[in-house]
Amino acid sequence: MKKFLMKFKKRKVKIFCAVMGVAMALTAVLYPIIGAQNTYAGASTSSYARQVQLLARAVNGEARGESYTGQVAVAAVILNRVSHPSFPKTIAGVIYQPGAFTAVSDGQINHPISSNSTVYKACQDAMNGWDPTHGAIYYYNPRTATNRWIRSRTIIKTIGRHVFCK
Amino acid sequence: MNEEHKDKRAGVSKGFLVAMLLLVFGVCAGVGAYYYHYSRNMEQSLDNQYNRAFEEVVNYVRDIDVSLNKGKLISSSSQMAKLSTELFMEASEAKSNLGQLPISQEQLKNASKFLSQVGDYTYMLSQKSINSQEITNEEYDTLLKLSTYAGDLYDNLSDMQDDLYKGNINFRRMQAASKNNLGDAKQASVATLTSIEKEFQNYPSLIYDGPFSEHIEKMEPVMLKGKPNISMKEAKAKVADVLKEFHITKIESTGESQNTVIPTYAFSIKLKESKAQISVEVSKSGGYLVYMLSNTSPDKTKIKFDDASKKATAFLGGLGLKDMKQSYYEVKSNVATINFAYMQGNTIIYPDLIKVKVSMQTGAILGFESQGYLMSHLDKRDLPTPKLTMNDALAKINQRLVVQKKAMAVIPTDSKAEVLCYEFTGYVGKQHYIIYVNAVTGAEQKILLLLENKSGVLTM
Repeated sequence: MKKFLMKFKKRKVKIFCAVMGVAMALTAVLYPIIGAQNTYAGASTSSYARQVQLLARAVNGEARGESYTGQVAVAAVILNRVSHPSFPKTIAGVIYQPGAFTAVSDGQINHPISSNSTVYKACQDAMNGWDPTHGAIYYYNPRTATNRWIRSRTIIKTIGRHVFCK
Repeated sequence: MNEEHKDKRAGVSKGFLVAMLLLVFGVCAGVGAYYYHYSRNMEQSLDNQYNRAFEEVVNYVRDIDVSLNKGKLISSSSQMAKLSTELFMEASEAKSNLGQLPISQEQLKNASKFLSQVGDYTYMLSQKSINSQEITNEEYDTLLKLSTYAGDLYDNLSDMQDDLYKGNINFRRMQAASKNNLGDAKQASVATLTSIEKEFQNYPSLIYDGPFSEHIEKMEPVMLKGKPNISMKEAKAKVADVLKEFHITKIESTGESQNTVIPTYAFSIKLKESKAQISVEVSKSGGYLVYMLSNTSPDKTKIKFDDASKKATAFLGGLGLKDMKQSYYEVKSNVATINFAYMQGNTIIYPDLIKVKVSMQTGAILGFESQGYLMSHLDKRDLPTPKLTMNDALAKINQRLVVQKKAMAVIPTDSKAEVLCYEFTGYVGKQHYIIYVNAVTGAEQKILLLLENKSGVLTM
């Protein structure tokens, strides 16, 4: 009787493990898909709104922890690049230029925008011409930046954790 | 009994353990093999993408080289128009493909700028040719210079292409190396890239009528010319003064901006009645309010747009900005963003632009932006004498436009020059247009289609 109970317990453990294993595997496979769906929710229809949407996703990935002005600043840098001869001439071209933004390289751009986030408004203000960076086309975090070249650029100003330069 | 039981238990779990280990090992090996294969596939497709973009760049640069060489010999304006249009397209394609290569900015920024300027410059030439204007000798000289650089760029890219075929370079690995800062990016490619950039160091600065012309970066704010510099303390006092109706409780300096056309002192202010974070900037020379932005999000609309507009006008008046007329507004998320342009007599001066944001809940001023105004404002511009009357101009535009409003306006060109125009606002079908006719040459300067939505309204 005791033996049977032991066996039963062991089997129970095995079944439990198997079920957990399958569940974890499923989560691992399904999570990115479900997550990605969340991210795309709320996309608007007009082309202008779509541009703000992409810009907002980039700003969300790059600067969601920054102050409002810091978010407007990052959006402004992207827009300044669009109108600069050394960079691609569309918002999408600038954002997806290989190696241009960490948030694009590491997938942070797909991080869902939280409902109380100010990034949409920040991007709207940047598109309307508010530019706290005064024409900057680069920025970096002085605590983490390893690229020597970026540190040699002419600094315009610091906003929050980012140094803006040209 | 107890002993025996223990042994048996140990035996079972040992076998079980081995089986489990084998299973885990097998699964790991399988998953590993799958992902290895998967990542090889991904790498290959990435390589293919990068190589395609590079091949496109090489081909388009060769086309540009050929076209520029032809351009040196063209004499008829219709041929010039055709060729310039081709060049414009080739430069645009080359640039867009260059932007897809995983090459860092510092390595190719001059080549990219060169392509932008080729496109921009030839666009200007094609416009001139279409209007049957002669291309000047200097403009031919510039084409000649551009063609030398295009030739050099093509030679360098061809060398790089050879390296690519020999397997000496790989764009994907270059990107990985530069990301990890390993220093093994010292491949042949980087040497080639660096030599391309070196050749571009003597690249002439081009001044022409286009948005990428060199003179734009060197433009100076007209308003600030000869104005004395103020100290940070004076700037702080200025903020307290011009924003006194905001009931400020605290003004904190957050640094300054430098190396830019309008250097400023930056402040963060706190108000008595709200928790808003407001950033404000004052120009170092002259002490003008350049920029203000609040992070407040009003959650409902309680006032009428007209009242918001009055608040904005009153705010501008308080700053000493008179004769500003509202030209366009947009209401979104309970915030009105209103554009104002300076009026010189009856002429709208669009370059002298100021934007004001007003809360539709409280009527509070949430934002202010005056860079355009500071860059170009003069109380009295010397405007050219029109050679056409309003009616002459009206006769020149497409007669399908049902004109609602006529005005005289100064508009900025792509190269930030100013042109005096007649402005006709009207509609064809359901779409609203604004047409500008140059008041001196009679040429149709610009046609704007208003992308109207519920929130944006043109008010002039």
